[in-house]
Amino acid sequence: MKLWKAGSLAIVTVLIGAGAYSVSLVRRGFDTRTPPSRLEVTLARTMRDLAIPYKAKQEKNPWTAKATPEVLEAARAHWADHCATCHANDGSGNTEMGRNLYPKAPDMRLAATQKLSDGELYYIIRNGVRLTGMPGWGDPKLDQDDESWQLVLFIRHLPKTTTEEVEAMKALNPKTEADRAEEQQEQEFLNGGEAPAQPSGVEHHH
Amino acid sequence: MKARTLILLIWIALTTVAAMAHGGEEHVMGTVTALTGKTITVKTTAKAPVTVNVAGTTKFIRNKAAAKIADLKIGDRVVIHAIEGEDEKLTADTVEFAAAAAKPAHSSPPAAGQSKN
Repeated sequence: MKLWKAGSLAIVTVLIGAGAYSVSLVRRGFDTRTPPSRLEVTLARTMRDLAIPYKAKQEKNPWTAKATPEVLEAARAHWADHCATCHANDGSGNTEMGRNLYPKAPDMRLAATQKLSDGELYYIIRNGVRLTGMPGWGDPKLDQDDESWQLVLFIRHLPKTTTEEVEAMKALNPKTEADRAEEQQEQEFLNGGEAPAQPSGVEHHH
Repeated sequence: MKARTLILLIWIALTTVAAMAHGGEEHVMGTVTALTGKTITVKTTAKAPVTVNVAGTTKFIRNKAAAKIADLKIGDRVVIHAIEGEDEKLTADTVEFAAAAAKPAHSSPPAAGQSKN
């Protein structure tokens, strides 16, 4: 009888908790700008950690010993072209896409990313993370993927990225013709050129 | 049933576009008219004053190299990329600037065989 009562109490508690969470979700809405709660972050990161096989976590980066400036430059170019749209050139995640994803693109210079093993980073790049904006970039037909391993090298470099590097990477970011034209206009203005005609002097960009 | 599905799809498409339209950056271009440690006021190219907040994460760039807020002077030309907060105030992400005395760059035609890129 006591066991039955305890079981019922547990079920009722779970139902009340689930109900309260559902009400809070409905009231908050499903927009992507509200940051996830600490509980949600902890649960999601725990699930991600559990989902990465132990063997994958232990893998060592075969490019660590071959990390020449040329290799790092190639990885930087790859990052600027494929990753920076969400993660930003400096890894801060401070881009329009990165800020508005749910969860937001993390600041990869910080410990939450940097403490992951090389194998974990490589696994995430290759396989993506479900229920986030992170796609799986790897070719499942390939056992090893040098470009992803080189990206792991660049992720390790992110906390030391300089302003000069970030500025150089801007030339490699995917851009529309309009973006490039506007960039040129801004540089010409900074170099003392004529101010472009704008109705307010403030332009909104997506 | 098909009509309801179609309406739902249209609604999703419209709300997605509406959401995208509010997440971008503001580009402020003009001349610095006032500076405090926490704000930069710019007379824009349309002659309108715009004040932008400076955050700890704001990056200052001069000649494609890192600079400091202390390097920025009244009269300098700036291009500020800023994010508008919910309070409609602008906070600078990057502030790229050049000294007021900068002259127009003379663009010479590219030499034979030289790429324009």
